[in-house]
Amino acid sequence: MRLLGYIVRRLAGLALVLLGVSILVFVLLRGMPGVDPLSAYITPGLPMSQEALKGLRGELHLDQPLPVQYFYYVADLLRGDWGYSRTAAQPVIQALLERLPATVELAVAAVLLSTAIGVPAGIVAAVHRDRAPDIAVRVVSITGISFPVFWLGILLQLVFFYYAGQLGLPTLPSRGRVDDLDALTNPLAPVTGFYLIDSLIRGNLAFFASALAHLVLPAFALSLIGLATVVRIMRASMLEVLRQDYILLARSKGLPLRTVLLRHALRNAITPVLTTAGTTLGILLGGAVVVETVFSWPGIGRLAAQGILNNDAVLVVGFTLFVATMMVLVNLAVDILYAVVDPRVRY
Amino acid sequence: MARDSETAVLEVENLSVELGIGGRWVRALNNVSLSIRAGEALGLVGESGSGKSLTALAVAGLLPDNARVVGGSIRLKGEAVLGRSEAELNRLRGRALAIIFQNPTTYLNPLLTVGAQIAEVFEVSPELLASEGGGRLGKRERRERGWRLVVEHLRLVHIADPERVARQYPFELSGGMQQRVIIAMALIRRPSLVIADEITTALDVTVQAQILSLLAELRASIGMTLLLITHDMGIVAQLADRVAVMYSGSVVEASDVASLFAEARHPYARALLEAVPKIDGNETLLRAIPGGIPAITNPPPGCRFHPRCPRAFGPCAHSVPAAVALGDRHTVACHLYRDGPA
Repeated sequence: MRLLGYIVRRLAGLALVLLGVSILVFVLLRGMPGVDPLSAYITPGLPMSQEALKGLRGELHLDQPLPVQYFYYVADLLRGDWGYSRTAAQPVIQALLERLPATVELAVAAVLLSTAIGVPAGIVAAVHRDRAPDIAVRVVSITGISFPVFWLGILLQLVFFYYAGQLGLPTLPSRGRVDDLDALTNPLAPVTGFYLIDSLIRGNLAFFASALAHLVLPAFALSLIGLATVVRIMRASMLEVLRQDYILLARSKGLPLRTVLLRHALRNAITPVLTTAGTTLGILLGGAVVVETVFSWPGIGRLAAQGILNNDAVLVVGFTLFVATMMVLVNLAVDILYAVVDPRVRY
Repeated sequence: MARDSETAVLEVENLSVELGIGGRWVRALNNVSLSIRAGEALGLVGESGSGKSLTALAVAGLLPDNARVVGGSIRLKGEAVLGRSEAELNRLRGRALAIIFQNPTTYLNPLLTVGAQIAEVFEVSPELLASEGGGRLGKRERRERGWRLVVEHLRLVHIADPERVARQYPFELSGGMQQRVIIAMALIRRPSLVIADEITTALDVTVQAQILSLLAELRASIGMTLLLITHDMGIVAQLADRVAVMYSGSVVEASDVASLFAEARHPYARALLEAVPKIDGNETLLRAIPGGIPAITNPPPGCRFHPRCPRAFGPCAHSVPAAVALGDRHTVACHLYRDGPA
């Protein structure tokens, strides 16, 4: 049960990181020059008396010293009171949690896609180092990362939705998570909030097909953010591992190349890719803002974009804390995966 | 050499290998010839950079990407090693050969248990898991038989608690234990030839002694044929029947161990023997061979040893000496002996 002990130790470290993040976010929220935190709680243009304002200030503990305010702030956070978002017209935490499954579904699909393409491509490039397959993989991945994601998203919509439609070819949906008509004719009662999982649980295949089709273009556009990195890191890591002595010993046993690559080399080479994939997932969970906006994807990224445009500080700061928490959790998950892959980490 | 072919497990003839270094090809092995008969142990000795390990890799068909064979032949159990496809080489390696490498800590995969790494051999040689009568066993029986064989061989190399060690990861074992594991892995399918490449260099002196006596014991008990690569004349004296001395990519002298120790002919072989520190005499200074092994990128013309050779004369500086037979399986490549036994 060394693995369990490792996870407990990591969770303790996690609490410390979150403490630091909450201090940073608090300073951002209260320390912004010229912004009275009270302004987040009053409706602009609605007249209020000085007494009422003062009363509200006291009620919100805004007349206390900053450390005391921080204490109340954390207490509120822990109780689930992250403030009220004008943009979403609902409490921040509720607005975020409600939209989280959409973002997670998209981000996970994108990361899976970039790993599923990037890992084999990286292996092929490493095995055929400096020969045609390697050069092809490198050119394609560099080209991929050079496209701005919003531009690529629009291009994908143009080709697979607009042009394909013009030519009478089958099209892929360009906006939203599911077709409104499908959702009306085959309504889905939520279980987890993930459409793909829920529709499978409920056996609602029409809904599943629609949700999957809607996921293709945004997930592909988003996967290109991580793809080139995954390819490059997989290739470099594989080249490094293939130089190791234990690979020579494995080959000397007469094991076929496939076994040497997949059993001996891949497991040793995959850890840097796990880090990359984890970091990318963290970034996508919080920063799929552009793709979610281009594809009208109802996730937290699009909400944050709307919040920024609306000067909704409570929402934006809540979003920041939320994303930081997720980033930390994703990193924890990656570290646990490390320990599963590499027994030496558990000690 | 022709008369060796019926009994020879390994026959290397006039093997020449070049290495790509800095954009050009340099000769790293020059007309190397070796032969090992079944049950024999050949010590291949020489300084670092003399081409011992490269010879071993060539025999296993595992030359690095920047190496190419430019001449000669290698036959393992009568089958040619050179010019084979990777798949054929894999089959040949699996049937005929095992290598025990220099540094046990880097030659075991850190992420797989010891038992799993040994058991991989069964994938290449499934016949090891066949029943006594040769019939194919069920999956569960094969697993049990595989496990039994792994444990049995860990015990054979004197690992005290084989069931536990088989479930451990390499990093949980000491260097000596890891080397025992690699030896067990090499022996489990009774290869026709075991190549041991500087197997004790990375180990403590006491552990070295244990591993060497283990090898000597295994040679006697299971009769393995051994290519023993080392720079240590003491190990040769202890374990080998025959010895081949390499210098800068060539075999300069080959004979049985007793003759070489009694009367080495090649000046380099003599110098090498004199460089072995003795503890019985009054000598307190280590004798060293003056000069250093030449860089293969810029070798001297003629005999590559001549700049360091105390007996160098006229032809040494411009003509490469050919191997001369001095008796039964005793050859020397030196101009001093070009007219037969001196």
